[in-house]
Amino acid sequence: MAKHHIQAKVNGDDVEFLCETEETLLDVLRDTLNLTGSKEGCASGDCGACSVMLDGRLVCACLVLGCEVGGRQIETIEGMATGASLHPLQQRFLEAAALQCGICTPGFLVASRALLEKNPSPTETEVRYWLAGNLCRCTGYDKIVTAVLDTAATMRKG
Amino acid sequence: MARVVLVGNLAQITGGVAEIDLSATSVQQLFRQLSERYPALERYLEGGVAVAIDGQIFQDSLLEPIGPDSEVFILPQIAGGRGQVLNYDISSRVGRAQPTQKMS
Amino acid sequence: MAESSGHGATNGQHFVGTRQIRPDGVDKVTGRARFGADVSLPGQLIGRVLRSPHPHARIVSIDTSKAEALPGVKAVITRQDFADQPSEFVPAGEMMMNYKDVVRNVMAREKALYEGHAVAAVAATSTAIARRALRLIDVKYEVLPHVIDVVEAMRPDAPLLHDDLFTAGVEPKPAKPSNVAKRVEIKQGDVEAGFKTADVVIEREFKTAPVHQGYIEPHAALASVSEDGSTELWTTTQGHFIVRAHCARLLGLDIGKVRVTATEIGGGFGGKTVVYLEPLAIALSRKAKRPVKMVMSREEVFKASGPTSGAVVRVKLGATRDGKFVAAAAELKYQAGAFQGSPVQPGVMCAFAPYDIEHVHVVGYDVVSNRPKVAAYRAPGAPISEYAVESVVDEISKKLGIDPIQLRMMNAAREGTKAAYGPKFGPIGLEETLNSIKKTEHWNTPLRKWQGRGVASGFWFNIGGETCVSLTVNEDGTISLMAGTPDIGGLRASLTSVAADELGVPYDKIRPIIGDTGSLGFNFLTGGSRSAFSGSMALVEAAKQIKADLCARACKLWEARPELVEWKDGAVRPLGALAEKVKPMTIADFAKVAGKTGGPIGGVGRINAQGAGPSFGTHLVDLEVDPETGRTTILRYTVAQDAGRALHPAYVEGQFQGGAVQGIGWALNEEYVYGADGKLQNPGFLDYRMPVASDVPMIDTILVEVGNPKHPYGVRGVGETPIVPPLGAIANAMEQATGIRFTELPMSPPKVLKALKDRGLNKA
Repeated sequence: MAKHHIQAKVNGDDVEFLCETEETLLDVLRDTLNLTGSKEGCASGDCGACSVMLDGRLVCACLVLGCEVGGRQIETIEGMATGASLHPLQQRFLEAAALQCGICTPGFLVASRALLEKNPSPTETEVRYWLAGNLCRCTGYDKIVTAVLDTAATMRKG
Repeated sequence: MARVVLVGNLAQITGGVAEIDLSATSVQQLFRQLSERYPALERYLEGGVAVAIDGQIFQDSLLEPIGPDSEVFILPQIAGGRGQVLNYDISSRVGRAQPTQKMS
Repeated sequence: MAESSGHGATNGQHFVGTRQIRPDGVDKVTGRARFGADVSLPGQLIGRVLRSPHPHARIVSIDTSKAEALPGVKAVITRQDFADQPSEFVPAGEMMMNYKDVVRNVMAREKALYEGHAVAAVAATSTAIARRALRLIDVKYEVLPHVIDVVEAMRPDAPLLHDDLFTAGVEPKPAKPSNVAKRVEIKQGDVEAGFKTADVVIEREFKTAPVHQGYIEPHAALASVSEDGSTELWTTTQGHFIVRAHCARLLGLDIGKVRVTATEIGGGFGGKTVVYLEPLAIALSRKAKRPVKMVMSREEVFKASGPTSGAVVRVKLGATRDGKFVAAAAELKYQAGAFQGSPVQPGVMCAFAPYDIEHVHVVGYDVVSNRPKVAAYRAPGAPISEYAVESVVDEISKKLGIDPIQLRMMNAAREGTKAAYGPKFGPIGLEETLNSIKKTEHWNTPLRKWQGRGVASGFWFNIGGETCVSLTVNEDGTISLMAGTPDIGGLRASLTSVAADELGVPYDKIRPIIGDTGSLGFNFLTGGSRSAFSGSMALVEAAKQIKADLCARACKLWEARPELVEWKDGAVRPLGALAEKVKPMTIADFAKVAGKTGGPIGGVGRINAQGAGPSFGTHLVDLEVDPETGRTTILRYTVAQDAGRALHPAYVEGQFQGGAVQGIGWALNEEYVYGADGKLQNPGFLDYRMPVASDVPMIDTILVEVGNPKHPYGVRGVGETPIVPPLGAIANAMEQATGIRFTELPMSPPKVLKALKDRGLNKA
């Protein structure tokens, strides 16, 4: 069967690609566009390691088909730092040792940014429930949750 | 003489002897002397055991010195090492503590 | 001892013990870091594995002709492509494995021994073609009766996995094969006599479910074999030197011809210390003469890798009226999976290690059944046996009316205590962890109905082992640091701090990398809580060489005798009258004149690290049970553990916190669920329920530092001990919350609810 020809925007750039019907957005990002920052931990939407923004909404890229994203805007971890500077969440994750192995980190960062855009003053419980779709096996979540709360406080101060 | 303790399956090989006094001054000598006395032990010792000398566990360390009054335990290798290992047990006994060898 | 770097290039700043930003951090928060599945090569093929749908079946025949004929398929491999191996035991991570079994585990030979056992593999130009090809492979199975449960597998009439497996460690040698691979024991004193002196004896049987390491990154490997046999492999592993050794052995290659690069690793916890895909990818690439990339799906990870043993443990502990433990006995039956080699030996040795008990007898059995071969999981074997022991200790404390911390303190192993496994302990910090827990506000906070508080201690040996690191001084005085143990949780940050302090060079002037197998001498793997311990020891050696070299160069430059120069505070300094004539030289000064004074400057530390100090920990947990649903909520958690010396406190805390939460999962939810058909029913993260952020509270940490005298910085391994106490601590808290002693893990909501209903307790 012929492949689908898709045009979309990824991290602000126009992209064009061909994909099979069954290929997921995650397959396209990783294998076709070589954006390997989004990780595949389960391919079933349970681990959140492939979290990306699709038209401003947080999704698991493994649960979206490549051929569904025509004309839409995708933001991945690769687009999170702007220019020379890291996003405050990225910086705080580094300072707070909020990562050990780092495989889940891109997903946590994308999901955390989505949270802070929606809710600049989350409580600890709100952070924990928002991030409940992202699995981390190394940290026990403590330093991740702390980093998100600290970043929110810093960003509120401007 | 260093007091050497081995039991479990290793002691099965020595016919039940679990404690032996040996004049070995290094792990290599210890293994050699044990193997001379109990040839069937040799492959087990070669196979990668841990040796506790005065409370300090050494693994894969043939050249480690053994003091004249040292208390030595032959243990199953703990978490790693490069040798092979066969099935054996371990045991223990009470003894005097000695100053341990200095690490570099 | 560590050189102080007072007034060198770092202006007296020390980095060991501080919370520096990890050098590999920016790559990991920006998506740049390349993990196992992130590396690709031009022209690469995709490899996929055909796996047995049966838990136990004889493989009658495998016909690959149709798959081979499919356009786009470039190679197919089966058992035919691997030579058989003699029976020989080798270290597989933190446990031992037999090459005869390794070759059968990576590719089934006579029989498929568990659902998911690899039977064939293909390499094709696309994933879709590879999948299609798998469907075209015709495997004829003769399905055999299977056995999953450890106790059933031990029965004389159980289906036999291996007809050449005779129980080792029993006299006389058994005449018949069995699923019990070996019997191990430790024994000291006379337990029977000991129990006679006890005023209280508690005996109880416990059961734990097998749990998976649960790393978020699936196994992945990329192999490229050229026509002359040169082999390159990129893989996500805890030990690329071990992978090289295994692959060379299984495929008949010279070790020197195989170059293995460890990619960034997305969690391992012991589960990435063995080979699965690596030999298959090499075999496929060798056949296809193209690079082959293989990545496991999550389902494959659950069915064909890890997990750790499920077990049945019987513990008997006797104490005098005033709380002194006098005798202890235990019997451990550990599942090994399809091949022998469960962590029952360390389970036996660790069971009573935290306590000073005169009479001890522990027996363990290593039992095969139709499950995936177990792999090491964080303090392999210890959480299971220590959970059972800590539960019984708690019962004794209740029975005698002695505070559980006080009771542990009375019996705690301390310097000079003879461990239950033989030798005497050096300086250890168990009492300090108990004391620090007792002093917390947490310990003294009141609880409400349906809430409970539990405490438990834990022990792990820790290891050293072969380690090689290098330090190279670059032309501008910056430093390249190379280690050969994969960095799984901040190793590069810890080692960089050590190198900075040793050389008196600022932290950010040192760039650490993990070298491939061609760049350094042999390194044992990242496991046994050894990589920071051994790596920092080797770095001290490497730095020593550099300092000696620089002192020698200074002597030549200054035309001075050796006794007139010394390395101090990050520079070679002239002494006496010479100090009037010349200025001290830092590493940066020497870097400028390296060529003129003898060439490149560097050091290589090559050691077999000994002197690993055991690490003890004590955990404290508060929880609440919902009597309507049986759900348990962890309210509060505090970890105290002896780190010896924390090179990087934040990553040490991270080990404590992560281990605690893994333990919470093990205690409350995680388990392999098998159907009557012998198939795994929950091979995904939705049904294999690991803790998520909303399941747990903040994990408070107390860093206890009882220095390890055998390490130049006092370091003890810290990574494994934190998973040992949680199971017991949580079970003990459950008992307080419900009045029920749960003896089976996980204490999942259905089980808790049933226990409450059985006792008429579920009406809140």
